[in-house]
Amino acid sequence: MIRVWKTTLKLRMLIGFIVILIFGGLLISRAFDLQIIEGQRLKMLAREQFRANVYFTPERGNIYSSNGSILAASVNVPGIAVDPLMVGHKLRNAEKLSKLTGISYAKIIKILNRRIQFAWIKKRVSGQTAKDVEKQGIGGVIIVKQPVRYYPNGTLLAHVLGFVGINDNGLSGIEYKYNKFLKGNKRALKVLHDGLGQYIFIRGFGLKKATHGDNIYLTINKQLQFITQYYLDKEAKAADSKGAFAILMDPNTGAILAMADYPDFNPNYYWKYSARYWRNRAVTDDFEPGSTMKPFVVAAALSEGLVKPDTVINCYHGIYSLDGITVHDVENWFGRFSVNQIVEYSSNVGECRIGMKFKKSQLYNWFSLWGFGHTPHAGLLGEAKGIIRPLSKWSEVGPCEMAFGQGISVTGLQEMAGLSAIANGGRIIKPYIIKKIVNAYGKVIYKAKSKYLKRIITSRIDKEVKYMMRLVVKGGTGQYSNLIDFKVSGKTGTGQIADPKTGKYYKNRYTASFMAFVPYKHPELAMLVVQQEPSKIGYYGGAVSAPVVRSVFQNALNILNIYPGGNAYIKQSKTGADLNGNLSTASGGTENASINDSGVMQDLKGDTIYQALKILKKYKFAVKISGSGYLYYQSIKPGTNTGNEKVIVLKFRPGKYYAPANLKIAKKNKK
Amino acid sequence: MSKIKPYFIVLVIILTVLGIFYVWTTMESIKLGYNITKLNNIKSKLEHKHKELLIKKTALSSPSRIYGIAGKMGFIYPKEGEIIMVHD
Repeated sequence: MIRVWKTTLKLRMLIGFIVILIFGGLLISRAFDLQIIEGQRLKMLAREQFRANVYFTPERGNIYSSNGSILAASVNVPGIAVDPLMVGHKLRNAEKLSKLTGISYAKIIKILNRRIQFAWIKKRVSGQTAKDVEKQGIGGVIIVKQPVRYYPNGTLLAHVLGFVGINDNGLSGIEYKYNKFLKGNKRALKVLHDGLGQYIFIRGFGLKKATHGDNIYLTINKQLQFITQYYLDKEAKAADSKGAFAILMDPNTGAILAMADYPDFNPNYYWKYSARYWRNRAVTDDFEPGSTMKPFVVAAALSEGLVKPDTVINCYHGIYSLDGITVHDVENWFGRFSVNQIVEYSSNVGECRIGMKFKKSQLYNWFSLWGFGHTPHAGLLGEAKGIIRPLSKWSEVGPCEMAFGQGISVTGLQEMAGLSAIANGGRIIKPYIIKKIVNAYGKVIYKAKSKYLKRIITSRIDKEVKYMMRLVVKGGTGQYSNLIDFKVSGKTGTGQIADPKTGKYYKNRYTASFMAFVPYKHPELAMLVVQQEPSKIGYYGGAVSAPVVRSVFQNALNILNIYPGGNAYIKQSKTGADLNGNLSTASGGTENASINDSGVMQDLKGDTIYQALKILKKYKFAVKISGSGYLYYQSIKPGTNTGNEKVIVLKFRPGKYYAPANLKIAKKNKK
Repeated sequence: MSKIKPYFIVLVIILTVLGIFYVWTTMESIKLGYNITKLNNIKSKLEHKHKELLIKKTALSSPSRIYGIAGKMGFIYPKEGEIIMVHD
């Protein structure tokens, strides 16, 4: 038996080898088939099963104010949708949905009876409503979150920001103009997923998400924007103006600090307003500037040596005819007046006669230098460039009319650029509203720089023009803009509106404007207010627009901590301040705290800081304050003569005030 | 044959260890992948929540709202001359 087993060993091994060879060959051929012949196709199939392309929708970038407060942002808002084919018990579920969403029962039934796989019940619901609907667990009802543009400040800066339509595309304002920056890029990401559909990020597969939109920072100061909008709205309503706008700017940098339009609209519900509400009048509308053109023409005449500030011009008592036109002044009391007075009292006749001293080409070039007729390129949507007729179409009396702002159209931004040049010492500056653009990874991809285009008037002439504009506010047509603590310079303007059909001026339709800067000698703020067709209060720029400027300046100067000069009130530092009564002021110089040598010091004990400072106003000391609460110490004793004193030190502490006598008693008791 | 055998055994052991190591790293990598996904989701949710809160804060502190509330409480903007500026 063993022998047989041994003799057949070789045979069995051979058979085994052959079997292994056959199976091995089959395996190898199958492996060859799978790996080589079918390899590519099978790899593709496997990839399709385990790999997926996930599309990340980019988030639209935010828009911020200059100090980083959100002006526009996208949020995911829940909405309720259904697959009508999947919804059972339609009548009962329709009733539930109707109760929760506030949509009528009939409307929901209509939706549920449609033979489609997706329909909206309500596109935007509150988070709570979404949760309540989810709790009901109705089959076929789904909560869909989708990005919605939200403007948390409501109407604030609405005309500049614009709004976003469906598909996340900007339709107006900054949202439209900078859509390509804000929108970001949709990106497909290759990921692996398991049988449950969960994504697994492993080596070799990117982690990069969609490139979110860039964030845009504007030069707008939110607080200044609010007060500008608030006072413009208030005065425009009071004057019953058809429209109005205001621009507040830093004349030294060109940064637009506030830009307001009337009437306003809420961009969160833009579709509820007609299109005329969406227009940003401050940049799209051109208008005949009227007398606000006068300082620009006078500056040009001074630069060309055609007049001097004290040159006397016959104003013919307010009525002057030449070449078929008659120029009128508001009042007929202008006789012979200096150039200073022509600007102060806004004499059209005087200005016409200055205009006529120019050669046509000379005046045309000056308009161009001031920026009239050119797009300002401030970074806003729809910037108009105004209208200056070609030189060949100027009539003989063209320079006369244009010198007082007729027959020429300008935009608010152009006037602000010109006004800023007067305010900042004679350099034309480019207004701008985009402060910087920062991408989704925090990298600054654009940063604005102040851009001085060119110096157009010398500083001597600039000072002369500034002085003329100061006279306008001090005693001329712009007195409603006067402030107590600060010196304002400005110019009023009342332009007639032309009938586009006939080309003639309407008799009772005006554009009332006022432009000004403050503080007079070293301006920090420049502002233009234009009211279109005011019908109450009056129609003069000095009556309806100057009060807006006054109110805004008054509050803006406080907000910006601009010191008016006068008394020096100093909060005492821990190390102790060196006080000589000399403080740097907003007007650029130093204000010496003058001493009232005949004053007798009052008893201030128990006063609050405000009460004490109010009393000390009349003494004109430098006042050094420490602590807070009620006054318990004053360095100049009550009843003493303040003649030689330069500084008074006041100390305050919180809690109830104790008279010195009481204090002594309290100390004794303590001992 | 006897000389080759130890080398063969060592080779098999090395290959086995390498194989186990490879499987272990792959498993760890997948586990980490899951964790990354989970953390990404949490991060994303927190980012959204943060943004929502920021927007809510902005809406609550919007100047027009504050002005309205202040007005109801009797606060008004100070008039000219009522403000005394104190320097640091």
